[in-house]
Amino acid sequence: MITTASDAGPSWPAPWPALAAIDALLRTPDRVLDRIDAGQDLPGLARAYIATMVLGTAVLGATLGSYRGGAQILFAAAKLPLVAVLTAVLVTPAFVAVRRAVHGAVDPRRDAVRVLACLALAALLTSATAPLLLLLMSLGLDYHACTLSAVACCGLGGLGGGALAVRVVSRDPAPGRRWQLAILVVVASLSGAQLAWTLRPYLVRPRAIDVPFVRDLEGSFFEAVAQSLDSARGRFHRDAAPLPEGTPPAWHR
Amino acid sequence: MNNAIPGSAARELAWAVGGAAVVGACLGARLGPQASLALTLSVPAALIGVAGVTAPALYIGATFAGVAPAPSALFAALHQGLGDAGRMLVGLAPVLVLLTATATSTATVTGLGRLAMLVAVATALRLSWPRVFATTTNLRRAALLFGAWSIVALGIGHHLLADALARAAG
Repeated sequence: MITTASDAGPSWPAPWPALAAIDALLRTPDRVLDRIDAGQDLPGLARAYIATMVLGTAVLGATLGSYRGGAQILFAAAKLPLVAVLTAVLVTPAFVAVRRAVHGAVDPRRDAVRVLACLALAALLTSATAPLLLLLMSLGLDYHACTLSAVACCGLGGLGGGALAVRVVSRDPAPGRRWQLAILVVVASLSGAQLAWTLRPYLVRPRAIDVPFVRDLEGSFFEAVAQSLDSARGRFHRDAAPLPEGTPPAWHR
Repeated sequence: MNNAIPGSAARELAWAVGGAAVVGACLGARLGPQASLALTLSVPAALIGVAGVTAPALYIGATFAGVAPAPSALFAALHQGLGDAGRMLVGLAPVLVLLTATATSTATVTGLGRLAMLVAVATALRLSWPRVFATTTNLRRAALLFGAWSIVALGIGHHLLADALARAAG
């Protein structure tokens, strides 16, 4: 069914079509998927969703960077959008490939916009948790607990994007829906997590002397989460973290 | 209230900034001229900053939960809430001046400042609740969301205000 933005319920004024597209993504995702299925304004939707991904992840990055303060706010705000965009670049071919395998012939543009819609929704919901992270930091949560909180917030956003992915594949009458969903979710989770790990740090240790833009590769994301869980429970894998000198970070003054 | 008039929003923001600046000046007067200037700038910055940082989260959460009104109505209600907080602060300023002038410790002054902000912002939140969710049918879900958002916003605001007062008090 072909729908228009005005049919999608309360919306932003006409001069802001991108905001109308984002509003529709939150309010009436099924109508958004109808528009994508109809091939309606795919470039406009793609632009809106990419902008949403960039802005949402930049907000989260700035929030995480505020734990250390200073240049780290800008560094993290610049790197997380890269993670989001590169995740989309990695997930889209995998999703197109599995849908081609199921259907034989697909429109890669529609599938790309579907992927962007899921990631945009995840970024929006994750950015909505930024105030909660700010509150936790202001309450004096330690570095490891902040790290795990950030991972949990990203996971919550990811669940929202995953829910939209379920809607996307549920519309498909052909068999293999669960396989499409599994590919989409697993590839997005693995690539997003590892990209984020590769471009770290975002939440710099309060005692760090330097604030590198990107750190050396030291294992995978999942190994790091396990290590943080151990550290939060008081089980450390090294005698001590490096001791820096200088001003404590903003949230711990 | 479905289409916010830009002039109305500017007026409400002016009340918010003005009221918070008045309270900042009142608190700072007891602490010294430098503290007065610092608080006149930092208290409004904290109020507007917290609203600016947390309002999008309320919009996103309410819309995703299916309880949000039209975006213009939501933001108009929040603008009006900020204006209410500013008007409350202006109204509390004379009492605040009296209490801080007669206080003998900086801890009392900072405590009074926090209390004044809490009363003003809590009043504004209470008044904003029916405006934001006037057209919502699922009030229970809306109440949970708005309550959680209010707690987070108050917590962030309290931290920023406490930080500003601590710096001003030296």
